[in-house]
Amino acid sequence: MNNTKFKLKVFALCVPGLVGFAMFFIFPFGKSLWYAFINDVYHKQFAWFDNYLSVLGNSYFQLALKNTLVFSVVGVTLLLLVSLALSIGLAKLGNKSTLVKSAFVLPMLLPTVSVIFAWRAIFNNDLYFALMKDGGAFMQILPIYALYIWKNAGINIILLTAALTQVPQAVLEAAELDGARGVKLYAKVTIPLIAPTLFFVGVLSFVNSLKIFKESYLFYNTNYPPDAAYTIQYYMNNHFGKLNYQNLAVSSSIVAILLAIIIFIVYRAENRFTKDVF
Amino acid sequence: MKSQFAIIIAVFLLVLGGCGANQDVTSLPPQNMEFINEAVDISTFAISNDGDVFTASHLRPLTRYTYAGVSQQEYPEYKDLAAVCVYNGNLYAYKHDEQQIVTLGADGDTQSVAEFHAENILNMVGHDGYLYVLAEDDGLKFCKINLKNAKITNSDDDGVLAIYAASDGKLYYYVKRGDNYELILSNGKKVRDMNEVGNIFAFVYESDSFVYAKDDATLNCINTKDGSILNLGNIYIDSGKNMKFYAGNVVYLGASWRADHYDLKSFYLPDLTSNPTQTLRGKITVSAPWSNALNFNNIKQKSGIEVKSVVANSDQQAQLTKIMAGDPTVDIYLLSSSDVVSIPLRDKGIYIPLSDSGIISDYLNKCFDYVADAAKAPSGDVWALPYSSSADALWYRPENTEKLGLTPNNVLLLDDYISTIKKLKTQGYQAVSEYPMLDAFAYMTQYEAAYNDYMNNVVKFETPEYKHLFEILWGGWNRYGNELHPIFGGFLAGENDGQRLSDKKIVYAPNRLNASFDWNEWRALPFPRVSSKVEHNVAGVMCAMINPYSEQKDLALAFLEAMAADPFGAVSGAGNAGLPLIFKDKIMYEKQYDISSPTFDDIYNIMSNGVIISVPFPYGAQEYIDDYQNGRLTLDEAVAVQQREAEMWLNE
Repeated sequence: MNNTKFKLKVFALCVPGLVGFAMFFIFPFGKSLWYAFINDVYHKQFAWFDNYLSVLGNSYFQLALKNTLVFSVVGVTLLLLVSLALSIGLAKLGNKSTLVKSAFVLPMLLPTVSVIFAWRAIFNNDLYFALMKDGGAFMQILPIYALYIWKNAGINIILLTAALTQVPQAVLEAAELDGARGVKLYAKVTIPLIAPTLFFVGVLSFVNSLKIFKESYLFYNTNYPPDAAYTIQYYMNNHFGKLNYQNLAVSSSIVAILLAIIIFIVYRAENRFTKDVF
Repeated sequence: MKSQFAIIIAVFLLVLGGCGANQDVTSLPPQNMEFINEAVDISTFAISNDGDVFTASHLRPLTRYTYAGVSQQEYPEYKDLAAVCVYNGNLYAYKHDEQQIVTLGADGDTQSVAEFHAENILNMVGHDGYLYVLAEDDGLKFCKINLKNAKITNSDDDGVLAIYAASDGKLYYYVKRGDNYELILSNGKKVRDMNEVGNIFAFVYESDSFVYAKDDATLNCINTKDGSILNLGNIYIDSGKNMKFYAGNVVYLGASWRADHYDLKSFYLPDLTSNPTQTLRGKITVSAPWSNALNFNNIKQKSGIEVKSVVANSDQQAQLTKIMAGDPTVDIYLLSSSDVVSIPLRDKGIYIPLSDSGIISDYLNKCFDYVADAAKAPSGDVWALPYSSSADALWYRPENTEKLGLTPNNVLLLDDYISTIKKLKTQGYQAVSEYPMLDAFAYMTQYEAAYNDYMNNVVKFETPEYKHLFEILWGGWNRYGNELHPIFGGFLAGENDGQRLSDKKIVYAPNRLNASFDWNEWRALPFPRVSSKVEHNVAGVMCAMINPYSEQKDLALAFLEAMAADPFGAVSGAGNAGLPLIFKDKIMYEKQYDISSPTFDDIYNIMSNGVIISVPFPYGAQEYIDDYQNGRLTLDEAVAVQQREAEMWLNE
């Protein structure tokens, strides 16, 4: 009886959150899925998978999806490496690093428009235009990679530094007595011990890589940025502009499914990787 | 001697005082003055005796401009003003934050006139030694303030909706008595019943023309002699203090071609009463006569039909979203036949077909073929009723062309037109385009009509012809800079219609609705064509469609059929009604215009050879033009970017 009461209390406490989640996520997502299966929002005739076939067969959707995946993989990898390197350095500073850590978080706090204003001031010049013409895709998308890393490194550093400082000193000393030094010590001892945080930071970075669209859109100031920067968000945004809800719904559902799969794989990998550590 | 000197001084002061007392009376005789100002977030304005314009907003301090839009002086201490007015040569303002009415002296100093508590000021005018203030403060509050002793007297009349101090010295109130609306004098004498006008928030009453602003943001004019009503456009309706009268001109804050901005606009009141057969607008706004006379409120009152105009200069995607979301309170939408709003509706079948209506079929048979085609969806349905059309044109003065040995053939092709312009310059004549940037887009659209195949998603910008055109249109200047176009010239700030259309301007590419052309002096030619491949004149057609979500679709159809059955029936006889040139048979126009006039023939020929191009995408920022103009992209690169963007938009 007490257990039932407790469960009811828990459920009652969850209700506001669940209602909000249902109203602002489940219901709109369900409606969006419905849009993906009808011909248009006025006639509402069931179209089976015609919309999916149309979108999946579109070369620009394929380009956008490929660019999104490339940006996420390359961007997240670079971001994790940079964050980890800086965190290791900051962890060694101990308490002296508080001010430095705060400085790294600042880019997250700045309004996007201000950031883009500065970014355009840096890159919107004749020199960059010349480099962009000669450097091809790499130079065209370089500012977005730089912006992504600069903006998101701060929160990663905070999380990773906290995890690094929590690694038991005794374990590290024992590993050193066993002959582990330098890179080997980090690879075999420290990284496995902070793996849960590292995976969380990885997922966070991945999600943030999908949220860099606003900055990219403002930076290029067009619906059609260079090919390498044309991501799935541009595709969806342009179809929103055309009020083509079917393409928008299809592409968003595909992205949602891909996201769910990737995050599922990441957490499965985390479980497997950390199973033997803890 | 001293006493004589004192008398002279006294007389001089009296004269000065007398002048001051009369300063509020318009000092200039009526003349067409085009008031221009930069597009800023003006919330209220006033006009001085010299024609200077004082503008104020919540963010910017009071600023004085010339009527031509040149900034003269800022008054930093005058901020957050809710209302301004000029009376007896002084500027009076309501400082909302201080709840004070203040006056600005000639030397710029500020003096408090009276403490006054209000949430908002609707109207504030000076008359007979008093400031009359209509304010909102927990309801409407109407009172007068004695400028000598600052005594505030509340009016017993609680039905006053708007006030106006006319140039003849009379003070008018617009009042609501029970269910009736009346125009009365300040002494209570009734001037006229105004039930056909209904609720308004501001008005100007001069020379039998009662110009008023309604809460649906329309600006209208009723001729108090014959009762005819004319729709004049849209007005900014944040408050009711945005209409003034100066030297024959009604000045108001109107919707701008820039979204979310409001420009100071004006029209010359005598133009409203001029004969429409004698006046053409700068751009041939060739419209069915009733198109500009559509008074949405009258329609609503008489038929119960709610008509909504899809405004071209606002956020069209937002409007399309609203239409697609479904608004059952709207029965009929008025919109262009070929833009980002109408094309998705038409192509996706989001309309009520009109194909079964015999009256509408007959109507379409009378229209030019391309106009009738614009009414048809890809499915073959009639999706809307076309009711007006427009096209750009070149206006020229025949006597000058003869004098200079030029013929209309000199300006048929763009390259020939450019040669003509250069030749004219050497002889002291000008060919002027007020807005070369808009003309440039007109030429680009013309090219697209001839070279691109949007039905099959094929665009061809990377051709020698287009690159040549691109270079002519965008090369050698900065479209956002202050310099004029190197070939086409441009708008010169401060020029009025008379100067713009002087006999030194032999040809004229107009883009402004305000420019007037006298049929006796000017003839019209098609806009120069970018190549001989262009065979038609690019035109635009406005249509009326039934809202598929309307709750009274049958009534809306009946209304459209009534319009089609009697297309000239609703002519108000107003000067800016434009020309109804959507019908093939010239005889249809004989009661409206002088169809024997060669100028009428010119316009008829332009419109009869029209073509509608459905450009289904907005071009956006087009930064490749800027990058080309500032030298970052070569011509080939800029055109390649445009080609790429167009292809992506069509095929993504």
